[in-house]
Amino acid sequence: MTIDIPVILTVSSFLVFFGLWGVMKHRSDLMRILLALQLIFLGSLFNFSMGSALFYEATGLIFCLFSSCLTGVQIVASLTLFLVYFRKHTHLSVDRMKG
Amino acid sequence: MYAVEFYIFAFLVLTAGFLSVTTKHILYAVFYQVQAVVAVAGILAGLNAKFVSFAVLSMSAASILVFLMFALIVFDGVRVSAPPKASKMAVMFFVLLSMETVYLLFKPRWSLEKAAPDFSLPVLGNILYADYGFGVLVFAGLILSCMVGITALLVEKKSS
Repeated sequence: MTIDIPVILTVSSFLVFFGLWGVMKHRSDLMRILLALQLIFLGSLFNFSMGSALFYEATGLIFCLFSSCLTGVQIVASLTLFLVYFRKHTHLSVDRMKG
Repeated sequence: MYAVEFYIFAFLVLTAGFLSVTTKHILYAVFYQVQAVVAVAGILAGLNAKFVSFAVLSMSAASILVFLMFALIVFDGVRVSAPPKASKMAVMFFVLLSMETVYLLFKPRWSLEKAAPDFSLPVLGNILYADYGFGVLVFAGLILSCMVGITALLVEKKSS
């Protein structure tokens, strides 16, 4: 049994699809949107790492490191913005943000 | 990496991702996300990329911990109360997570032959600092500016 390229692409595509679906499904909940975005990052990370192993090239893993770094920065920065908003308005609902 | 291991971990990643989106409870969504991240780290460990696996795991653990703390602080335990069938889900979660962790810890001792190229720390370090030195600098600047911005946002102004 071998690991084929279509399988890898399917798994990473499904991860990205699940992330996009999560963003669309939980539009009114900022925290859930953040979780879904992390799923998209996980899909790209998976794609980079498997491509790196398939083509015997470590560059993909370097981008994997950059991607995981970017995920951490994104989560912490967005949580900070949420906290600042929550301090001011005492809610995090997108529906109430629209007015 | 053996193909069976890859398929098992890929199935775990996809299932955890699907459940993370479909579950209604935010605490369970975070737990499923942890499962997905650990499964991806297992795949990376199977590819002889143990340093990247550790980096991804630690980075995601830190960010998810911050996420959980934020959820608990903001929602103040109101929306994160345990739903029905919580104990069964928790047992399943911890059994699965411990199995994956055991795999991550003992995998290097099981494999006898290298199915993937050597992605050790010296190899990655050479590529990272020789070919992508500018990228490292840009990312360092990005993280530093983020930290400065976050600190500036969170420091409350004192009224005179």
